[in-house]
Amino acid sequence: MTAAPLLELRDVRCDFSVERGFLRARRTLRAVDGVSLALRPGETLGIVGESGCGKSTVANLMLGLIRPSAGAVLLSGTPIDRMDRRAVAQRVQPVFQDPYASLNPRKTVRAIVGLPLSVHGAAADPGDAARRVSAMLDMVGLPRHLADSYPGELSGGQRQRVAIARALVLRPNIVVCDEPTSALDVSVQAQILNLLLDLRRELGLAMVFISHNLAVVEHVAQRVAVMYLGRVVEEATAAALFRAARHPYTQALLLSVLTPEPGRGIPDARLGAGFPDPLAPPPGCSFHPRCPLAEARCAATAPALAGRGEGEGTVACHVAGALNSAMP
Amino acid sequence: MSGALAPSEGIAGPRPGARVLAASARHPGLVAGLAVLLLLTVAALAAPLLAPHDPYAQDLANRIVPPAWMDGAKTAHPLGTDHLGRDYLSRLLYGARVSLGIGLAVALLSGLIGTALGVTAGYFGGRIDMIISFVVTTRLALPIVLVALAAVALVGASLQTLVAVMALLLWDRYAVVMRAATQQMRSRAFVTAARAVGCSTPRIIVAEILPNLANQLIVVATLEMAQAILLEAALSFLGLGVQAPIPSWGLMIAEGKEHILFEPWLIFMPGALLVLLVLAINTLGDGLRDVAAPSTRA
Repeated sequence: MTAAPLLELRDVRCDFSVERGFLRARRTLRAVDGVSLALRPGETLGIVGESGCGKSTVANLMLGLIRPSAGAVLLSGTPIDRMDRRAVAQRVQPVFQDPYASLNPRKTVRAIVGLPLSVHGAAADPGDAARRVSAMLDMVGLPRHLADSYPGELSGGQRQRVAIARALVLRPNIVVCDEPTSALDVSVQAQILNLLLDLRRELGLAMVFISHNLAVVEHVAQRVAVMYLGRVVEEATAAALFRAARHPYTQALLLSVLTPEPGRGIPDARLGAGFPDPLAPPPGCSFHPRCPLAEARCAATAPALAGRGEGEGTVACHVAGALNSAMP
Repeated sequence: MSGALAPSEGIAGPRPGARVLAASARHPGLVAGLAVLLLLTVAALAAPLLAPHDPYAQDLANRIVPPAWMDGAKTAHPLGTDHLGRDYLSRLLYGARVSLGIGLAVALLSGLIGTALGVTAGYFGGRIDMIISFVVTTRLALPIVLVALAAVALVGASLQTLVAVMALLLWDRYAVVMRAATQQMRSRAFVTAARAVGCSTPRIIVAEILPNLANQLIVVATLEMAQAILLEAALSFLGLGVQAPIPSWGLMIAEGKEHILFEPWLIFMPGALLVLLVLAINTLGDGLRDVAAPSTRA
């Protein structure tokens, strides 16, 4: 805990009001519930979890695109909702999952990458803007002649490079990547991942890397937070987490990692029951209906985040907590 | 349906314009409709050159001269004359100007109203959407012809009033289509990306969303133009649209209705042209919809 966090979520809660149909009462969906996370300079924070666990809501909170219902999102100590939209944009930029949807089909690559410059009036003159766009295309490994192409003429990997160029053209110090490779062909995923890693080193970026793919997160992140139903259930350094997962959910996720080895089939994650209805989360520990280790108290009280025992990090589990305290 | 479009070719074709253009050339209805519309437009624009006579010049000695293919025709009046001896060909040509001009003006003006309302409702949603949707529903509950008649009778008939009244009545389809299309667009990641970059809301709507609605806008505009031309003809026929002596096809039908039994060509010619023009525009619009915005087929 040496450097001050660049980006910090402090006990953030985020509710959405969900309409369930004509004449039926609106219900509150708690997408994020009491999440605290910190991103330090130059660090990469991985966030993993199933679909619907609130990963993308966390990304939108970090980008200042939605306001927290409670708690605070701090950018270098300043609450993000008290900052000017464009000041936030200069420091945090996103890379989205689907490069087919994240690029405007009616705009050329040049216009897409140049948009942040023109919105911020960052370029001294049109020539300067053109130079910076070209330099950015070089940096993400796109041939300059593609500058006048439309997204429809590019491959998935090329499109994601355009999206990365757009995110970096303002030279932000934080990039929030929300499943940046999962919409791409397997052969292209590695290229994009390596590009992100190279850029991270070259530009000294801090990154938030959101993914459901644990193998990728292990490769990229220094610290990992595991989310389940809007809460962080375990957080630790990548090395510690992948060596010895404490939370039963993390353990199940690790078991479910698909390997490209043929003949091994789809692994059984031992998660029997399906993902619970986020509109009516289970009482107590929200994971208990699917947990192999669940006890009576798990259905009654929600566990708080506590020390993991081994090294730094935290875990929210009655049983894992007991295991920790039992260990010397 | 051309059948040539794979479902995956939605909005993100290779080069947006080129794909639509290539598919258009292969669509028979679109090409036929466009050809007829172009022909009538050229005729309307070149009316002063093509018309053999002044469309307002009366010649009471030559009243109700039959057209060239009937007995008693005169070479000076290839399509005959009306009850005041005015050359019918000249009046039909100048009438095309009125129909096309009013159709275009109404399609543009109602397009402005409807697009503004639809995009606003679709982008902001919530309460704003509720209010605008209520306005649209209210507008749909009004009988167009009756309200137009009442409004024109109240304000007094003139070309400007006619265009204004029709523009205020015919924007609903724009609003409905643009609202749905905007809702679809605003949830796409490129809009979120623009917000994350710090784009202002007006800029997002105008520069990011509107260009993606152009296809559907053109389709609706075409169909609305046909609708406006028909309404103009109906109002003119009822005497509350274009006023004599300005030549309008609807007015010409009205003026010819006393002669329907013995000189039916007086009604037949403007009527046929009206059908031809509206059919051409509708065929073009349907074709454009097939090619440019297949998702909006209703």
